[in-house]
Amino acid sequence: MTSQSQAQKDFAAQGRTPREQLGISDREFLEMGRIGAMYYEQGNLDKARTIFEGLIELDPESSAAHAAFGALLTRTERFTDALKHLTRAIELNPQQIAPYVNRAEIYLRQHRAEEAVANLKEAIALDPHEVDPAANRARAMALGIYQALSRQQRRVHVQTQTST
Amino acid sequence: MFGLDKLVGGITDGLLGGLFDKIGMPWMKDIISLAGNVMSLNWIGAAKDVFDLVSQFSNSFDDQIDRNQPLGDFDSNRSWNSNNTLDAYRMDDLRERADEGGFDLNNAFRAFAEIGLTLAVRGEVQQHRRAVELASVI
Repeated sequence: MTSQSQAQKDFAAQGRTPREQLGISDREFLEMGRIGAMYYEQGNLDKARTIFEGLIELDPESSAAHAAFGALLTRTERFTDALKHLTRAIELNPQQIAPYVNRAEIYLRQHRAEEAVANLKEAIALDPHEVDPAANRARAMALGIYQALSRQQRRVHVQTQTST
Repeated sequence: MFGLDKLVGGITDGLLGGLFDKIGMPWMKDIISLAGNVMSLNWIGAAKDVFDLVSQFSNSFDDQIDRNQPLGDFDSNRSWNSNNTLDAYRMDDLRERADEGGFDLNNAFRAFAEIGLTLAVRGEVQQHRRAVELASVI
């Protein structure tokens, strides 16, 4: 996780974020995030990173900023840092689907089965009508795991039959 | 063994592998291919949860899947429209206010600069578009 600057500590002590002190509205903050998202979608990850890091510094309590930076860190395979930001995003807003999906991906790639599945379940439960592209990404992961387990099941079955 | 064999009937390994490429998860093929003993020991506890999850899918969700790791709230409605409130002048204003206030915000300053540049380009594009529209009317 990016270390907390002296400014952030000062602002925290005052109970106000830099964003609040500068008078940046919710809408403006969201628009800044969407510019970062545009670069992220284009694959211009350096620019996206600059913006997401800046937004976290402006508002350390923004679940959206932590979720976005966590996604970028997941994409660039910086899993340890990503997990910190994704977990913080979930602490701040447990109703966001994306951080669960990205945490599931990291745990899956680290073969931490139970944690991966727990996060997939959370993401999928938040989207019961199968309309959210992020939750559908979680469904695709679950399908992949299913296939791996089914293959293993068939292998065990064949081995059992062969030995008897 | 697990007592549930649903959904995957029509899905072959090749098809699923293609799906994962298509949706930006090529690494998933490595997960699927790791169906050895380590995998089974590691996954045995989670298997029932996975089968329960998959059994509830409708088979049509793959029409709309995020190709990249999803961003969350910043991700929705990405297109810019006329209701946008930010412009390059506002970013300059924020930078000046932060500077004058003695704010020690290195990351935020860099973000302001990047966003300000982007908005300046957007402003130029919109001006050009308006000019073209005006010329077509005249």
